[in-house]
Amino acid sequence: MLLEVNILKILKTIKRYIQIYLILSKNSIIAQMEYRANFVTALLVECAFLLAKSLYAIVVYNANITINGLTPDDILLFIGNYTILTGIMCGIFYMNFTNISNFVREGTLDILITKPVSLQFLIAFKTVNIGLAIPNIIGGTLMVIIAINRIGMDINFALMFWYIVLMIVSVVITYGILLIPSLLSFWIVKNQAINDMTYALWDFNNMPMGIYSKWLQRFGVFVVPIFIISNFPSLLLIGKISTMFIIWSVIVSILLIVLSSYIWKRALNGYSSASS
Amino acid sequence: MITQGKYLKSFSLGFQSSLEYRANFIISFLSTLFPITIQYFLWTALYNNSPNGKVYGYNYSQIIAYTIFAAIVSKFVSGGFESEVNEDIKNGGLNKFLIKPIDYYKYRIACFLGQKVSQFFIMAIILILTIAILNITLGYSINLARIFIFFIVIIISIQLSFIFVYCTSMAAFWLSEAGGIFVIGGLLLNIISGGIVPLEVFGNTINHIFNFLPFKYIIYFPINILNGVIVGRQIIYGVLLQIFWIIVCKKFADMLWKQGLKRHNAVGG
Repeated sequence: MLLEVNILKILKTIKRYIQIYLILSKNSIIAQMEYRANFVTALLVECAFLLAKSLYAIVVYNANITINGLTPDDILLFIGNYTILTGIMCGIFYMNFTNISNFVREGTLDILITKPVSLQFLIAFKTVNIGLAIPNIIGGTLMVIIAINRIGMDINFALMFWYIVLMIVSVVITYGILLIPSLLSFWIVKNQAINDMTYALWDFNNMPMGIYSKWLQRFGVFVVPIFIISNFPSLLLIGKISTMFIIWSVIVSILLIVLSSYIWKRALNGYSSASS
Repeated sequence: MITQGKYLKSFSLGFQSSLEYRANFIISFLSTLFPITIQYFLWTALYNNSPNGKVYGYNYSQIIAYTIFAAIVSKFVSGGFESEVNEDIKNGGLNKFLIKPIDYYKYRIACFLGQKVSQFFIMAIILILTIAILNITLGYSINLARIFIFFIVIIISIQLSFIFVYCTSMAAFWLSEAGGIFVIGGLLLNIISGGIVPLEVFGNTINHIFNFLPFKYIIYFPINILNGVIVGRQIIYGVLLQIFWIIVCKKFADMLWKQGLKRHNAVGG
């Protein structure tokens, strides 16, 4: 009985947060549409970056060399998944996370603290940027579909299910791995350099981790688990992932959620408003 | 042109401002380290799996050299004054040039070249260090004549690069928000002038088209002189084409400027 009540309560909270999120996204989309020319330029800029990202695919295709067991089609699959996740990262997290240092520096956080929702939720999901997301998600999905067709993979329900699970795990890890460095702004206020470094690391996934040296691969899977993102879903599709890796990625995603909320609490405890 | 006093002054102003921001220029080299690392692993993996040790006609040390040189040269030839032109056009700063006997184009290029003087020496030091390191680690061949020709050709390249950036910045006459166009223009120009990967990557057909276009003479051409891929007569033809394109593109820039001025309404003047 008591358990049932608790579950109901949790479901209700989740429903409430989904509703809030929908409202927040609607607001930020409306705000973007107000400056339509800006929005269109942002789309075009992102398309140009998409072209730059697919340069490596062109290199591999025209050289037509199988790299460490990965055919050019396999590599296109990796780049596709990387591009989709970049779209999600830019659309959902990027603007919010890079804004945290502004909130702290300018004291805007004060007003957000007073809102009757989780502050961590509000800060992390306040704005949605569809201008950055759309070109990447469409481009990435096309790459994945083309790659799957060219490899001649047979897609079944179970594979699709695990692919989606690993993509969600990737998004969760993205959240944790990118949020933690931006929380450092609570202590050092201006952390442009750290942010730049973090997003530069992100680009390492532009290529499958298989091209890097063994030590770098281990580092990127077990120490700073950036390689799990986008590599593991791709490895699953080409049938080269071990069960150990799947379990590890789920563990990492849970650990990162716990760790980021812990650091968040510590950060907030030390927050001294800037303006009042 | 630059010997005229007023432009010489602009030249020295550019030089002074670049001295002030020299740390910024050096740091901007550091930001290229990550992409270079990724490309280093990509090329290394390709060569390890290549049956004959040649990819796109380059040997391993040449391609690694290309990757690093491309990053360095891209930084050196890049514009950076688009937003200043944009400001001038949008906020009426242009008016002070229009009413004085100063040619805006000459003023800009004098300023730009002045800025590049100190960057030229920084680039040269980094480049020579890189060549030395590549020579020790990968056996990259050093040829003093090629290095000398490279430094001459790069001075012509940078003027070609200037004209393209100048033309792009003219977009501010037509667009209310030109910042995005500058980013796109800069990125595309970098890709098709060979600033990220060598142009052979795009296949034969596209390379035939590139041969008729001016872009490859900005980055690809000087780097491959240094690399020993472009030799002998090809260098002379290339330099002649560079000069030809500078003349043609300057005409185009003048045309854009004239058309743009017709639309210019001198806000804030």
